[in-house]
Amino acid sequence: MAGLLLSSPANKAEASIVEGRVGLLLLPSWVVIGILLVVPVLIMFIYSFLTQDFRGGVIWTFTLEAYDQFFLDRGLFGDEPPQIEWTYLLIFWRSFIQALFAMIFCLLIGFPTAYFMATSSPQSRSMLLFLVTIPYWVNLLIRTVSMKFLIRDTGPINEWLLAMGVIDEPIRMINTAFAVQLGLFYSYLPFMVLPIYASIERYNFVLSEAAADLYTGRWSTLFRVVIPSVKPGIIAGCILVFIPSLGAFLAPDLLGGAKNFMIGSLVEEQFKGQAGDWPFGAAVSMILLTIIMGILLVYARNQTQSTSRGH
Amino acid sequence: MTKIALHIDHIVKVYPHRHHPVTALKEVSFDIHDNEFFTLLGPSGCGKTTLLRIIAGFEEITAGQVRLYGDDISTLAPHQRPVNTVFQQYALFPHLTVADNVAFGLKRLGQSADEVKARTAAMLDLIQMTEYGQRKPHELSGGQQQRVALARALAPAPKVLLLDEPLSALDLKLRQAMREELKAIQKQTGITFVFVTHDQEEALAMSDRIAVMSNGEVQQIGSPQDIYNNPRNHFVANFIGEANILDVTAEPMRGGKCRVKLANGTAIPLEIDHAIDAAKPLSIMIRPEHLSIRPAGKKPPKSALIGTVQDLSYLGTDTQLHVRVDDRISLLARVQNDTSVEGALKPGQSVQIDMNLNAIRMLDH
Repeated sequence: MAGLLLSSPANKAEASIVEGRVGLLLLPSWVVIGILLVVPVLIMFIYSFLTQDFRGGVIWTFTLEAYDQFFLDRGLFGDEPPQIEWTYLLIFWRSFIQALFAMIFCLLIGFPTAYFMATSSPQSRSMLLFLVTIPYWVNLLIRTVSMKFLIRDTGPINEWLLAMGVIDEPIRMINTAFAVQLGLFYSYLPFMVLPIYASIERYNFVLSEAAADLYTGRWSTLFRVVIPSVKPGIIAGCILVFIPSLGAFLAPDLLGGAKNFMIGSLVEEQFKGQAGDWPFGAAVSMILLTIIMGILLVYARNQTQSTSRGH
Repeated sequence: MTKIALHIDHIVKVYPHRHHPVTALKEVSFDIHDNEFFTLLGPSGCGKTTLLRIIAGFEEITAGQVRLYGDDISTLAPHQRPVNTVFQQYALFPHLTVADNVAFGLKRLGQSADEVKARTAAMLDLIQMTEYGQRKPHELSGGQQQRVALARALAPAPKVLLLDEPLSALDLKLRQAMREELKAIQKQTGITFVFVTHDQEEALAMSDRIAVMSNGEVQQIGSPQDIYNNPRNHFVANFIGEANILDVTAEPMRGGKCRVKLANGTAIPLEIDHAIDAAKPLSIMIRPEHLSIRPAGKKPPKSALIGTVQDLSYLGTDTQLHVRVDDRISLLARVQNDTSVEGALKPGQSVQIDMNLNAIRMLDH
């Protein structure tokens, strides 16, 4: 609105002054974005093209070694003809599947939860919101370790089931893909609940009445009217669960064991201790970043297309 | 005999709040005729919207029955009732185009793609918005959204169309235009309309019949003329138009006549159509336009009502004035601005007030 008013010819001079001032006022945010976002990514980008130093750190010699190591297998001594290296691609694939399932489970549980919260009385709403955020007062590491104690072979779940006589020997839960999934689900569920809650709270429930009035049953109303109306919240929740799940390392490390190695752990290992390979860790991070950016760009493009279609 | 579209049979609605249950409707009963423009009129909180929502199926009934062309629909879910609603805030589906909104109910009814397409086109034509079919609701003005909401509700050819204050969000000019359009569409489609409003002018302009409601009860049902000219009680007289209501004492005379006395002792002879109980407190009602005002002569007749002009307000075609007779009686009068009288009236002036005796109505308390 202000822009429209300012763009009239009489105000042009004034407009450029105002724009200059606005630019100046935005400077702090540019500085913050620069220091916290652009510079670190740039450092990582540069490091991924440097040579590995023996005990961590880098030698300032340009090389494609890290990316070569990620994508190509040149045999044990590096003198065989290059083949595709499957180890890391498999880790990526496993991470994607785990993150995807974590997202789906969070959505399946999170949507009804958010719906219930948003439709309860205003007093209980703030109480429920508080309850959902309570686990976040405890460090994620502690929560993940606690999960490990709960599901291990001699943990309370197995002992209880054994005592009840439901099972004869402990169910193997720790160090399985299931355990990783459980960890991811538990860690990121609130990230699904909160944005969906916010959009259902803004949803106009008269629309549901209108659908019922037009011969639509409950389930059909849910899928034809409610979900399309709160779609932005659902997508935000999915992104907020999927992306951190993809890079998670606590749950796979503590609950998954060696067989369920994920991207997060791979990167973590490169920077931890003295055996690490910083350029390789940086390269893995850059590859992950590129893939995520790609997904978000595709989503953003679809989004602008679907909103501009009406215009 | 006219066919009955909706039979509202002793409907009671109580909201069971824990500490103080609220009775929204107290045994409401009436019939709505086939092909009728019927209005539920009343102030907010009178139960009119509750009654509409009961007909639509959004509220459960505490006691009573709703019959639609003879069938009891009281226990059916909203989506099973062959009635459609135009909501106050339109409630168009924001993610669907205008055409998809209009087609929504038709598709749910399982009509074939061709049928849906033809009916949707016919509806868009009816509201003169054919070229807007591919727009989204947020790209339309309030009046256009209103018309789409109407088309969407009319598309499945409901047996009764319910309208919940559909014009209240529009500005005055548009509201007046939509009144005529709604009335025309009702006549054209032959569908029974049940219209809820708190705007008495709207009700008088559009309705075949009006039910005036207050406090969960129907106060009076009748044609607009009937309701305006013969209000049954205080509430109706006050709510519809403007009225002077005066407490009187009555002394019955022979031959269906009686004489009433105003608080200041002025006597007025009246024809009455029903026996009155002189022991009960009574009042009479007269509309401002049925009072005639002229400057008082030097020697006014003894029986004449004399008062002082308190203030005048110019309303375009009319001038409205408050005339004070004494401490107990103050009257609202209206004189047309094309008469010679209006120029001669000033605040503080002594005037003679004549009542059109045929326009005086006796009110129940």
